[in-house]
Amino acid sequence: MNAGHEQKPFFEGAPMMLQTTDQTRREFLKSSTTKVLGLSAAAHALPALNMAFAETGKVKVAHVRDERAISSRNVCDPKEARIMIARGLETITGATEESAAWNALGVTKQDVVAIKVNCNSWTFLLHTHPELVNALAESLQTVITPGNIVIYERRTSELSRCGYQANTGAQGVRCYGNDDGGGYDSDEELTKTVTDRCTKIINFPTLKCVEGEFGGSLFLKNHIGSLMDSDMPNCHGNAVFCTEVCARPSIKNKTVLGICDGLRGTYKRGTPWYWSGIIMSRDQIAAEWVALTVINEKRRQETLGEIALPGYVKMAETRYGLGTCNPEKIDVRKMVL
Amino acid sequence: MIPADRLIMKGIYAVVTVLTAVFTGCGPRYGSLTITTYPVTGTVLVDGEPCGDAPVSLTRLKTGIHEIAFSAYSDQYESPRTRKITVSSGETTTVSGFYRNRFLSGVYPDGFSPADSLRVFGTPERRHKDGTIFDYIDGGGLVYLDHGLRETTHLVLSDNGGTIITVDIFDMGTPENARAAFENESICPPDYISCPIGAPCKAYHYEPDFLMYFHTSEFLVYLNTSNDELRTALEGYAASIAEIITSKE
Repeated sequence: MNAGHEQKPFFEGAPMMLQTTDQTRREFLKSSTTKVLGLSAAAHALPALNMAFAETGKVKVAHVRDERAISSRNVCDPKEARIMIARGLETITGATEESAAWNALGVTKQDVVAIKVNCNSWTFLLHTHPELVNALAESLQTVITPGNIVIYERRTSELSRCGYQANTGAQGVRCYGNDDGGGYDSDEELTKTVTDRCTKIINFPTLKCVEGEFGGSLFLKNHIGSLMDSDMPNCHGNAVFCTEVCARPSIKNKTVLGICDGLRGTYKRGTPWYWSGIIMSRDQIAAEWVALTVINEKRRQETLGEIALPGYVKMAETRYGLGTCNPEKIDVRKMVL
Repeated sequence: MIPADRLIMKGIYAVVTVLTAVFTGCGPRYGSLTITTYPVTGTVLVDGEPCGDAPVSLTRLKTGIHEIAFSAYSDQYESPRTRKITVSSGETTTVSGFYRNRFLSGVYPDGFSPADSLRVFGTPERRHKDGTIFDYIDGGGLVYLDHGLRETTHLVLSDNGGTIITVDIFDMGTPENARAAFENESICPPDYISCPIGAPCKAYHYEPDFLMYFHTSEFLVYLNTSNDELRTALEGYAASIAEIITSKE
């Protein structure tokens, strides 16, 4: 865990490192295989670096860690957040410019992109960090206008409590709860933000271990916040239901990207730790699998039993075709910034 | 014997009275009465007769004075006073009964005050002002319902610097339910810190958060701050709430 941002120099103008294996920063600095980048966090275009990995035919999952991105007081550095998002996009698409990366993900200037964050952490702070989401919104603006970006959660008050600036107005990045989102679609029983307003969805949960049937509260569970209030009793202890929700046409067909905020996560129910990373993929099920492996690595360190791959994650692949959780089909690209 | 002329006059008077009543709409007069309660859903009695849970609407109530009473809800909420109201013909009278919170009213850590009004969440069977527990804790509320949760009272306090303290009082119905919820590791994980607050307590320090649960009587109480420097203040506040709850028994 880092000691705080004050002591840490921001990399701007300094070298930034990239690697494809799970190494520490120190190991990485010694590595002769690393590439040294000179990046400006503010720049929209990524540096002219050929990031393309050899094509493997597998689903790419970016696993980006940066200890400078989060302090031990749970304060996120927006500049580091911006870099993490850029690196993740570059890794999973191979595109060297952000706009190209978004295009590769199917986002064009006509799109309205909804970002489903997670703000339902009522015990302690474990929400999607606004700095990361703002970084994502900035990146999206290389392709679409701010007004075509909607950050949403179940209630506006939940967003505000987690540090988001609510915005239901006509200008800027929109940010509101379903209670300000124009109601629910009666066919799909989802917020109209998902069914009517947006054309693309980015799922942005946090790295939460809840043990029990769910194992993790990750991508598949995050769309609880897209549901009608009357469905809330159906969510707890009903992982299959959550998988079914993600298979509803608007969610299944519009989702282009999944990102898991693991700056501060939990490795067992109710116990947080600063993993200091994000997991990103266009395949949410693959990303869910990687997130569970990250949790299990920590659980092994803490001599806790591992979380078995939950049946509902397998079902997401076998019954609904939402992605793959087969490790042989997943290409994890690890990097430490 | 009544003289014939007086009998005739009485007859004429009776006919005129009946006709007047028929053509002017007089006779027995009625008004309407609407009774609400706040912030919990209380049971209403009108003239001693139970009328069910608020909101209650009575549309054909005889004009005149009626007594409105509210049944006791719990030790945490003081019932509204009984009152007499006058129902007028053709009019709707509205009565609101305020259940005052006894545990969280006016007792705050130094420098803190309510950032918002008290919020109260009920169950799917009995909603309160702010809906059900699922309007607060999503599907996770089922864990509490499994332990008999009746309602959740939620208060957010803040100081001038924007530091937040959250207090939740879960009314679990019975002391046994409250203890069982406290011992459920899905609610109160192991690896806790003990705190001497005068009630069984489990505290957790996850920098920068400090949070704690304690139980007393039929209540499970949760307190949280995202600034662990306030740990001592939070413990003191918890102790004062525990003392208030105990004194109400």
